[in-house]
Amino acid sequence: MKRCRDDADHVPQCPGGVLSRRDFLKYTAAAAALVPVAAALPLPGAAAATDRPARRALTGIGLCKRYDFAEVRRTLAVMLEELGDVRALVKGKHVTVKVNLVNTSEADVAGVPLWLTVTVHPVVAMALGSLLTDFGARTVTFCDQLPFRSPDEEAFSGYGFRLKDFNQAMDGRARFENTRNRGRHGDYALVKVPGGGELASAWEVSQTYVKTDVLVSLGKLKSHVSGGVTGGMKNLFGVPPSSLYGDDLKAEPDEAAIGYRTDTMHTCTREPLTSVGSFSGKSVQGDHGHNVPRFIVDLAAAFPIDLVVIDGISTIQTAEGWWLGSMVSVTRPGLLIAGRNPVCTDAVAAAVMGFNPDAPDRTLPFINGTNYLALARRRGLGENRISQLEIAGVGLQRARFEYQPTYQRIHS
Amino acid sequence: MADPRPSGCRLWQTGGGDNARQGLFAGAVRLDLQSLRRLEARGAVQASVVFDTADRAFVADMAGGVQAFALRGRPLWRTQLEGSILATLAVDGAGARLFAGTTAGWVYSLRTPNGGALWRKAIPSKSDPRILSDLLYLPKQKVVVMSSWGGRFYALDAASGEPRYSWDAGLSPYAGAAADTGDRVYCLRAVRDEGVQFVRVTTDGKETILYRQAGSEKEAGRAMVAAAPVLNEARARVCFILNSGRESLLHAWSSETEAMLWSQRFSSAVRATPTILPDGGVLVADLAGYVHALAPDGTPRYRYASGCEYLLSGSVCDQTGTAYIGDPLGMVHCLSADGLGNPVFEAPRAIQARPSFDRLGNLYVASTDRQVYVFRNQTRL
Repeated sequence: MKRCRDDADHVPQCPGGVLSRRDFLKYTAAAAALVPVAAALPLPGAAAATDRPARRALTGIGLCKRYDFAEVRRTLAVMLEELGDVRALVKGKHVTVKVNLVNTSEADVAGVPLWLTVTVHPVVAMALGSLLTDFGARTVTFCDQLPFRSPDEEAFSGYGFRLKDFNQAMDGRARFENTRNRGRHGDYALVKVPGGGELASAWEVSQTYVKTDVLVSLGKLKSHVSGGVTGGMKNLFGVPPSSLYGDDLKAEPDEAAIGYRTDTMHTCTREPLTSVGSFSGKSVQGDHGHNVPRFIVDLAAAFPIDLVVIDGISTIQTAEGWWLGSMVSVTRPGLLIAGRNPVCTDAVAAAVMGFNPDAPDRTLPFINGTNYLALARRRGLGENRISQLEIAGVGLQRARFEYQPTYQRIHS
Repeated sequence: MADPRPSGCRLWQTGGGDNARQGLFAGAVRLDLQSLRRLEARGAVQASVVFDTADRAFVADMAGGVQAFALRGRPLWRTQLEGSILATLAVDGAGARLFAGTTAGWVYSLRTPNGGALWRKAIPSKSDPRILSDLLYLPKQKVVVMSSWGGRFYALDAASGEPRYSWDAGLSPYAGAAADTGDRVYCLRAVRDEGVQFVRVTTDGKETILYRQAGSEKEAGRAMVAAAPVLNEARARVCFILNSGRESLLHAWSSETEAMLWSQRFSSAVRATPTILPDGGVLVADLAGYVHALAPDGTPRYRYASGCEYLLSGSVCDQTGTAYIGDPLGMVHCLSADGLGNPVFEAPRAIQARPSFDRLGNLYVASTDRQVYVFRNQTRL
């Protein structure tokens, strides 16, 4: 049983293997000097890069039509109980919930609010938080990097997340953290990618993501132009902070930055301003469909997710956000998905959307690039083949709600 | 008071009934809500049900299936197409052929008696080829019309599938076209740097821009063009929705004077095709969850709150002015002519398609739970 303390400096767990900068440099130097040996001497805690047996875990699906707190909570409660071990997972623990809130709270989809289309609805987050605290979680910190310099509580309010409401539902144990920079922490956490990663060897992020016992990814069930689908894994794209990875950076890291990460993690036209070189240089400039899926896997490898919950009650299809204009459309699957393994959970999510989660690269839904679920399986992160997965709750057949296909980029 | 020049149709061969897309049934309907039949599909049903002269009901689903059912619900055949189907099918006037467009960019012609394929054609496209616009069959020209995200409307020869003519459909076209009895086509499109346009295309393929709503490149790229124009030939007018950001405008345009008759602003955008009431009034379902009723001169009559955060599909109406609409919570609402409404049925999952009527006035409500719910009309027609 993992234990944790309350003091701020305590690091309860390092999900992906947190390193000091000195350690990191030592290991990368050793690897560079001993290239032939490096493969046989993996970094401590590192996983082999390819074709490991894939982990499997149960995924649950529940039908839920409305963002009614009692209804969502009731549905989630049944689902989490079905997963079996969530109560034990969080009891007495500090829980961090990475919420999919995207890069503005000031837009909408043809007037339909973000939380009904692009972002996680606050009722789902609050119902989840309420259950986790009921299960004995000591604190539940909801976080994402938000493009606002205002205090955290205020930054979250634009997305409908009101700390007072959350604390009322969660016995005062809710926290909000905007992880766009180092925030309240003295320094960043440097987290290596086990096995060296596809495009990233390490991530430098807010310590919120490592000073935790349990990492929950609370995502939205959407299509994604570069990734094919979003869910628990893609949600981690919001972990690298704007202060080191943002488009609005100039030559130095900037704690005031609030930009998105298009240049560093989509087009890959610039390196992040991390304290050590952390990208491998194997990205393909301008090819989102190559880069984004690989970064998704590198994030999922570095930040092992203990629990995924996906809000699929009301959402959008074809693409992932309001910024994609009229190609996105509102739809209402009316369901929630939860699982302990992010690859399994996202694979079930893709299947619910009517897609084959093991589809070949550059076919639907991964029409513009690499199937990151299959890549994650090859990295040993989890099983994505639906025939190998166990599904609880209403089951796949009843839950299925076919999305429009992912938008296909113009062929050059 | 009912319009002296009756409109609406009995045989619903395309989305909204006939090519005018009014959503108005030419008869009075009194539904028996206790008498419910279900037509089962294999995927979510997001396209309206259409019918042929032999009273077969055609159901298309998001798993790519097209099915035919007899009047009492007996399954007749099922054909699997490539790609999922959101666009409502069109049946030709004689009822021998059925046309379907898929998200994979294919257009199919199927035999209505058995589902056999007569032809299939890929819509030419350098980008995403999906077809979302409800199909339209033009009987005089014998062509079938649809648009794809390739950005063009195509008029395909109904017998061969060969393109006869095509025209610009704008960005991410979703809205179907409508046509008058002379086969003149009316459509909407969002054009980069120019905004949204209301366009008429004549039988020789020539287009005329009848109205423009200016907008920047960014605005055009975000303008949702999803609601089809609706024709009321009896009153010589076309009603169409233009969205602008979070708002929308319903325009009534005169086909006699070729001028705007009136416009009504709504504080929410609209995705659903409007419905024409028997007296020439208009019903509009918006993305804030309201149904707005307007008099023939555009003055507001009533506003009905569905209780859902947004409405994605339009209503249908009978000759008494009673309207039916489904919402994404799965509720079917019945609205009387004076705006009193209430939910009368709840499906397990979202309703995202406009309902339709068969010739007997039975109401078909397609649901994403892979069912079409059929409510029996108790009124003899």
